[in-house]
Amino acid sequence: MKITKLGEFEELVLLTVAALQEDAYGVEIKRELEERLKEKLSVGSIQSALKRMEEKGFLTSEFGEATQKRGGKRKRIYTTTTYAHKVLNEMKEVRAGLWKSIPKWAHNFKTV
Amino acid sequence: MKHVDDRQPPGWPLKILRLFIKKEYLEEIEGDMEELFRDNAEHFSYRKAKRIYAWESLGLLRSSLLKKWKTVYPINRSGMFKNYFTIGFRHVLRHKFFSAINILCLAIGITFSLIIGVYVLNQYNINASLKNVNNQYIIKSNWKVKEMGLEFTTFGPLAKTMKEEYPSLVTNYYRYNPVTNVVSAGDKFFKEDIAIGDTTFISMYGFPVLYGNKEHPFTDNSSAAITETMAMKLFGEKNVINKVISVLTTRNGLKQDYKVSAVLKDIPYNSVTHLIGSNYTVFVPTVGNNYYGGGDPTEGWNGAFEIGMLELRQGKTPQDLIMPFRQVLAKYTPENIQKNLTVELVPVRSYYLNDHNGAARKMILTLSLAALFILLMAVINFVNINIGTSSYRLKEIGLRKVFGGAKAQLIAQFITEAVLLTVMAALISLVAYQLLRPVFKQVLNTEFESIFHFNLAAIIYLLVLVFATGFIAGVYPAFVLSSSRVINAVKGKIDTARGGLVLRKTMLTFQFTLAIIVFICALTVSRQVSYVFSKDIGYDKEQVLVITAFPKQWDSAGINRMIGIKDALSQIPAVKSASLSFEIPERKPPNSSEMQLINGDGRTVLIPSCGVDENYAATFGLKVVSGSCFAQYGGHIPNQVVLNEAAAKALGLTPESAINRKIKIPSAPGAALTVAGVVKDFNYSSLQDKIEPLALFNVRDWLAYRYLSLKLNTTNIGETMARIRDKWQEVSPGAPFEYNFMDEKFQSLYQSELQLKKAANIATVLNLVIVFLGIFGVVTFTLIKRTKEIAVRKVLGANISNIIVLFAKDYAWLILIANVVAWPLSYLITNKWLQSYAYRVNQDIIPYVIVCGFVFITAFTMIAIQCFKAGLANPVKSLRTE
Repeated sequence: MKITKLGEFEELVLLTVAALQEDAYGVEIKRELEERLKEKLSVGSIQSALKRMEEKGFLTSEFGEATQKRGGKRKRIYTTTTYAHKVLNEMKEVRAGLWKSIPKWAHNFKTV
Repeated sequence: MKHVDDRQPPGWPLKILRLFIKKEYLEEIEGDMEELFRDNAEHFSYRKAKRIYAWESLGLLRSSLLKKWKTVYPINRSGMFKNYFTIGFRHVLRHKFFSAINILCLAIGITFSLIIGVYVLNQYNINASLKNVNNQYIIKSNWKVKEMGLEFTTFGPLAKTMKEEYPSLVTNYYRYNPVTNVVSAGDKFFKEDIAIGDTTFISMYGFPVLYGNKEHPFTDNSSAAITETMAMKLFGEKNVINKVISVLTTRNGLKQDYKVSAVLKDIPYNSVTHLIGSNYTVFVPTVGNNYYGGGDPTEGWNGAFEIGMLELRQGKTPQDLIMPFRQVLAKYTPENIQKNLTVELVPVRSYYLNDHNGAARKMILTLSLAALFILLMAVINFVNINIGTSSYRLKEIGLRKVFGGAKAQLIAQFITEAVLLTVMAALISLVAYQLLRPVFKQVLNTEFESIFHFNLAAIIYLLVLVFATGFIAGVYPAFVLSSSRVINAVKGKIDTARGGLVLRKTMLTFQFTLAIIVFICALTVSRQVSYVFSKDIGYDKEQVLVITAFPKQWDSAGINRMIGIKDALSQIPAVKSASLSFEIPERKPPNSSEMQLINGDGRTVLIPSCGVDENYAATFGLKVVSGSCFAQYGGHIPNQVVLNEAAAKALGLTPESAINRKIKIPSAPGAALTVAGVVKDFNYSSLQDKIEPLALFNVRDWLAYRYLSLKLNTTNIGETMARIRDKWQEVSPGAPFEYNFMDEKFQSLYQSELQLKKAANIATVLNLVIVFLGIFGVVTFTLIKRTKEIAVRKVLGANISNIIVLFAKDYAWLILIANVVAWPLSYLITNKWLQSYAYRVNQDIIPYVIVCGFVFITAFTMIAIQCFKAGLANPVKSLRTE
């Protein structure tokens, strides 16, 4: 596997998009991620991550419904691409493999 | 829940978003922001929601979300520029005549400016390459009485003492004694300028060492550093480490041997080694040298004839050394010196520019002004011709405007066109520069780099020059043409015709004024130069051969030997007279004697002095007013002196009463001097200086000599020179035959005047060429415009001369006004310049009349020829046009 340029934050946003399915638009992604990470995130950081990943081909997007709350402006719904799934899976496996190869006593070793 | 709609997000962050965020993202982001705002407004207060909104908006300004400014305008601008270029080229080609004038004038202006620019850059860079140049200083002596000592020399130990006693101020020092003598290796010998000095100088100034140790180029006191050229001259190769060279000293034909320990790269002109104008090729340590016999000249506080330089510690200024200098002088020198001498530190970096009362700076200023004038006149021509011929463009302008061309775009177009033309002119200039380099090298005496070796500064200068010229030339026509109203423009009428005419005439007048000023100045310089060369300077410089008198053995035996050589040379029939002397009339003697008339009024006068022999007056054609130039028969009478009239007067004597009066020298008690004769005043230095008192001592008492001058009387100079050379080699074997003619030496005194004359002549010619080309262009298009008028006049009975007068009248006024303005200005400028000469040509009206007449006649001839051509045309044909 070649190293894909997917940062930690980007990976989190990407996973959130995958999890939210058709609800995956800016505000919802922000809300979901803030809840899970238990910290405040700025619109700018989410937006720039989304745009970057769209450019890299992890995401596609299309306009969704417009609500009155949004001042009549349409949402943009993001969907993950198959490429993104492939990369996410690969990363998960690499991580899992690494976790497996850590000796069990390694953690205890330090505390002895 | 309240109505959400009356709670609007704040306005200004939205504006920022709309201005900066990419259009395609805007809807989504605006929507997200508004949704969040409403959520926040529900959860928190309205104010907090607004604050968060603003904060988040600013947080959105990230590179991945921002507009790319290039893509803001969907119009393809490069296509537009391409169009400008195409139209520009077509315009140039369609009006070949006017374009040629424009390009030619601009090319002349740019070439001259380029040459002067490179010259100025070179001048400013003199000394720049020396190491730590901003901390390097030259010790200058300011004597209350000028004759007490030289400006650029000081006490031998001073520089070293400063370093030793004030190490916190001074980091290094260099002193040297400049001499000229014979340097030999094997059977080769040459007359060379030798610097006997401290061994610090190579590392102190960072002169590049080709061979030898860079840190310690001198291994001991009998090692020498020589330049690569010198190495080639003596040994035929550059790596000559450990080879032995001999330097002839002033003592009894003795030579001192040195082992070469370093070969230096040839040293470019700088104020350290070229301080007194010599080009040193041999550098030997002052410690342990036997040149004068008196030992190391840097030791002892009794003479101030050593060049001294200091390197100050970083951050220290000459002000910090004022007190230390005073203290050192107080400690080591007699009271008389302390009262009369102030020591000044002059920065090496700007020494060259400020030397000789800022002669270099003045030259730079003069030439820069000349270049600026020429460029300005070329630009004026461009503006004049462009506006004059603009009627051809009006339809184009109208069309562009009709199809939505903005004024700014039109301005851009015209400026682009002007820059284009300037770039074409610049290309011609570069070729011209490359071709004219050798010519200007001769005129200005500096190296002009090839354009392929331009350094960054020169390239930047060139670019700025070209683009600034293009812009300035283009900007006025651009504004005038682009502001013509659409309807008039389409019809082909120029709105600003009247205003443009006045302006054009003003600019023509201005051009004429400049040209006339430069012309008059050039004529005045020429007149002063020919005055200098034709003035009766009191001595005869023709057919005087000046041989450097080697060996310099400065004692009685040496003098007698040299007089023997002189007598032998006098045997040659073509030699009318021969004289041995310390000076020739090329400078004010650096030595002075304090003189007091015995039984006089008790005054002491400092009089510049030098040693000459009894044939000096005859050889140089000096007129002896009374007495004689020493005893002509019966041998040497010690302690005689010959004065010039000014010296006699300074001592309170007339030429007649001076003879046989006794003079004592208070500082050197001993036998009194007897006045043997008085010679008529002669210009022994440049005509810039007034003739000052001069005392000639007998060279046998003076015990030092430098020149052997021969007055020749021959028509066959080649044969005579060969005979003199043969005789010289016979009677003075081992001494090089180095000679000059006195008239050449005299000419070299006026090097800068000759340079100025040449430069002024070139500037005048260029100015006139540009002015007349400009007039030519302006007259041509006026005639084209007034073709119909001429035809009507002819039909109604006017003949050609009427038409010529009609046009000439217009320009007569211009030239007249230009003369009225230029004359007083020229007078002021030339008068100021002439004031720097004690002996100068009288200003009279002749140059002014010549210039005025020349300009009138040339301008009218040109106008007449053009009008004649236009006037000959068949009026019927002209009336049919259109």
